[in-house]
Amino acid sequence: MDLANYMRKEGRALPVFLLVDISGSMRGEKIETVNVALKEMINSFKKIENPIGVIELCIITFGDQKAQVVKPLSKILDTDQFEFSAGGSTPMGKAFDVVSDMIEDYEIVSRRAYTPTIVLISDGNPTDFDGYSSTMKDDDIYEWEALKRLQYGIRSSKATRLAMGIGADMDSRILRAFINNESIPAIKARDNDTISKFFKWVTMSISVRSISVNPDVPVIGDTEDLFDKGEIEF
Amino acid sequence: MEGSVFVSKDRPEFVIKLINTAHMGNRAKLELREHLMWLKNTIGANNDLKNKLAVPKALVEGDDIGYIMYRATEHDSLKSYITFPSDIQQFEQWYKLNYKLKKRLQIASYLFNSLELIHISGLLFTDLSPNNIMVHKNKNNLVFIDTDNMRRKRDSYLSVVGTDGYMAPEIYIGLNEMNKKINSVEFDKSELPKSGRLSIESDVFSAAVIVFQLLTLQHPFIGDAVEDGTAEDETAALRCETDYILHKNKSNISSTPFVQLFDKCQIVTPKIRDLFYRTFVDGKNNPYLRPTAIEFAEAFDEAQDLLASCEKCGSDFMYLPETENLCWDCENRTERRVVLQIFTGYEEADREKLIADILRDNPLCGTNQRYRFVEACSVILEENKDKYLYLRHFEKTTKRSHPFAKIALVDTISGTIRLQVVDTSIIPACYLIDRRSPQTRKRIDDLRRANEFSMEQFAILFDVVQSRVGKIETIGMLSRK
Repeated sequence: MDLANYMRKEGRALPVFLLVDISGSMRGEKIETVNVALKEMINSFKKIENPIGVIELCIITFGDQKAQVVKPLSKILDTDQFEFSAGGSTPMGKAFDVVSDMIEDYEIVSRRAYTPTIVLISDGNPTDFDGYSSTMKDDDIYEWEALKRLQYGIRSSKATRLAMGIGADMDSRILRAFINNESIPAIKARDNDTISKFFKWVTMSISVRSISVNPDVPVIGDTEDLFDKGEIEF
Repeated sequence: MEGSVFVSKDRPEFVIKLINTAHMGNRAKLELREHLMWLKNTIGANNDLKNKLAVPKALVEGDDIGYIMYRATEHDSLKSYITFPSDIQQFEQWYKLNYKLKKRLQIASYLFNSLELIHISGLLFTDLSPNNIMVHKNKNNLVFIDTDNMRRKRDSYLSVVGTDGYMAPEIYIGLNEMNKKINSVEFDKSELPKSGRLSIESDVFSAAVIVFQLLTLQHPFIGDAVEDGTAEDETAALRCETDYILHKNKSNISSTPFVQLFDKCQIVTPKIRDLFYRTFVDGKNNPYLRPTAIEFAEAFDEAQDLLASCEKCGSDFMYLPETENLCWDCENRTERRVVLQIFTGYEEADREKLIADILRDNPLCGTNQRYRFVEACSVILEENKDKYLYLRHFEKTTKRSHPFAKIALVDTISGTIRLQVVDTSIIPACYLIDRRSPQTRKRIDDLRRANEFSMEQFAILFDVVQSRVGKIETIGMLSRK
């Protein structure tokens, strides 16, 4: 058969953006657990055979006054391992800005791509959210500019969002405002075990999506089986 | 139905499915249990169906709702037949290893034959998709799994189920309305209402999509423009909002190689191509215009009889006078007369019986008997329009009869026939067999007339015959040497 003139269209990308908190409070066991869990997630993704949605991973860290793209959006097979070290503040808003820009950019997320997923991992509240306090009203949280950009962007508004807050300090309202979907819970990790479980949950949800008939449809793995009651918050 | 499947440690021939009933009230659970019991009893009692459908063998007791079923151990999911790498080189490797036309036609035939059985039993499958069909690795056998959505035809108005990309268009009505309300908020797929009536026609539509993908490695509504488009365009195509990629007047064309082969009838017959056209164009929005499962089944059975093997690369191709002996894979034109595999539509048991019958009778073309093929064939075929005639070669040493050529009636008005040859290098002695009723053989005796050709001439004549569809002026008798 003459395949010389045949240009098979490449599989569509299934973009996944990880926003990882590397502020000072993440130092030690927390960031180490994240490192290990991330390694496992990347390895799992690499093992998927003949996916329909080709996973592309992007890692954005936020800490120490800045948000950095430590890994630009690229195919999972071209992904090496990553290790983070923590320090500094929690500029979550900056991370939101960076990911918003990337998603709205057709050079980065092609028009052929499936709806992206954004995963937020944080252990503390944003230090670049002017006027934030843990006692502020729910409605005011939704007024945060950086968050609004993400919620109302033409393409970013459609992105699937998953989030995990580590530790008791995390204001889960921030997480839920980020997720902006009543049927997807925020995960609250009280110990390192939950961090690993969260990554497994994300891995499974993305993997199933990548091989399904229509990877554009978001897949949210069952949380009740994997997590304890206290770890899930709708 | 959503649930978890577990393998049994000490009884690996079984799997246990527990259905997710977290969102169900007591009444719903009771109805579900009754439904599973009904499935177990109805299908379990149906000898034709129980080996094809993985249905509950026993129900789980207690608070959980679930059942035990046999595990399809030597099967692969049909999905693996239509999942392949997108990289060109890897794709080439993949198809050379995994695309066997004979196997795929067998699957198609089995699928439609099973569907017909399900329908005439008064049932619907409902959620047909490649994920629900398990294909035996070696034998010609399929098992349908996830049967807990099956229901009676008359219960077609119960909640609608299906898989994106395989549901008939009428099932999606109402989805669009819901979509407009959702906007940017993600939603749980299982909450989407689906309307439209599940029917035997919607089952056939699903089966047609699956088989089209199996043969062309392409979804029938995803053309080049959709592949280039956004993910939303693709979702719309999966919901049949675009046109069939082989629709004559539309622009959703596909340049993928197997779709081209399909269109040129190198891997399917014109009859099959037509049936798909009727399903995806005429019958797209009008379910009653779709062919039935049995029409598809018969077309695929017939197609298997028309398969030829390339001498050079071993690929199977559809033998038709238009394409002659051209192999689509290596472009080799088989020098020898076409070698066909026939009798693939036959059950093994029938064939043995036929051979036994033949061995008991006298061969028709003995040294004292002559006949004229054309007249004999024409008369028999005209009077028995649903029959084929097979020429068989009797081997003295093995005392077995081998298929040699098949004669089919192609034009019922003028009575023209077409010959397809298996192998002309064998000894030219043969029988004329009516595969459905041996009694017809008696009639042939009366029609015999002389006309003798040598093997060489006969061979040339076959060439001539095969290059034209239709009229055979004279054909020789094959004399026994």
